[in-house]
Amino acid sequence: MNFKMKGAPKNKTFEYNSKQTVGSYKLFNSYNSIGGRKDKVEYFGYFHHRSADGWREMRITG
Amino acid sequence: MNTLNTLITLVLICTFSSIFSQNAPVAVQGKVTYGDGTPIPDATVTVSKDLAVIAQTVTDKDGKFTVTGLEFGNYEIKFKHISYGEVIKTFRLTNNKVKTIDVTLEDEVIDLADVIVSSTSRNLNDISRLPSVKGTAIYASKKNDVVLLDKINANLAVNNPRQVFAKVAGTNVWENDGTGIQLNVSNRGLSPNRSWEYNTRQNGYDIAADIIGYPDNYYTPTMEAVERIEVVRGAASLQYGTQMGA
Repeated sequence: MNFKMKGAPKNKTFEYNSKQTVGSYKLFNSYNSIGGRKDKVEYFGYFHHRSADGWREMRITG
Repeated sequence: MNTLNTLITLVLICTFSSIFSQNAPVAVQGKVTYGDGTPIPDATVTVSKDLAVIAQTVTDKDGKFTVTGLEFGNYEIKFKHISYGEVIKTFRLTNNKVKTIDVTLEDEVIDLADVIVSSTSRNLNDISRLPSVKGTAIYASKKNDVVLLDKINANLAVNNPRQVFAKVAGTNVWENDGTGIQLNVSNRGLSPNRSWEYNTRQNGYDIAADIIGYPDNYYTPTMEAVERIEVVRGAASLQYGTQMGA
């Protein structure tokens, strides 16, 4: 099983993506990438963050 | 004398009415042909006057038509056959001669608007296959699936493996964190624990901790940064060494 990651766009000198997802239990997911290509030079980078407070109500008993 | 006058008047009236009755019903006739001279049978000929249809007929097997019983005046005549373009002509009847109108119909060329056929189902293209040979790897005869992540309908934000691997036949999934941090998938009925029955790679490089001894997958790339997942099933020791994959 091979994960082939995204890379520089085919024919753009600059491109950015930014995607934010929020959900219940304070889920916050953020994916941001920049990339570009000019002749034989290409660059690509991404930043990813995900945080959440678990996936169900926390009950403290006793 | 009175009698003579009356007689003359009667004779004149008869003469006029006879002239009139001879002139009144006139006709139009003609032949409808194609560009090369072939007669066109069954073409519809419509004669109208002041936008009202006066008469309608069809051409015979020789392409000929006759419309009788017309009065003096201006007419419009329309020729139409289902296989050819329409021709409209005008004519004027002023004497009692039969008017002859021969027409040539041409092929009808209609430029239709573009028809764009597109698929509404996204699910036809979300799974692909590896080529038979790619670099030093031979995938021919190997069962394989390529999950195209920009095409699938899956929650990539939380790495939902049930959705990501939904089209890979025989995949078994365990979820033990619910956040997509750890990927637990397997195939062919093996244990999905930490995907340790798979040789897991990122861009072709191993990402399992100990690929021979304890090849479990501690880490999963975020699916939003993944372009595709190549899943190759079955032993592949010839290409990857011993115990690569189960």
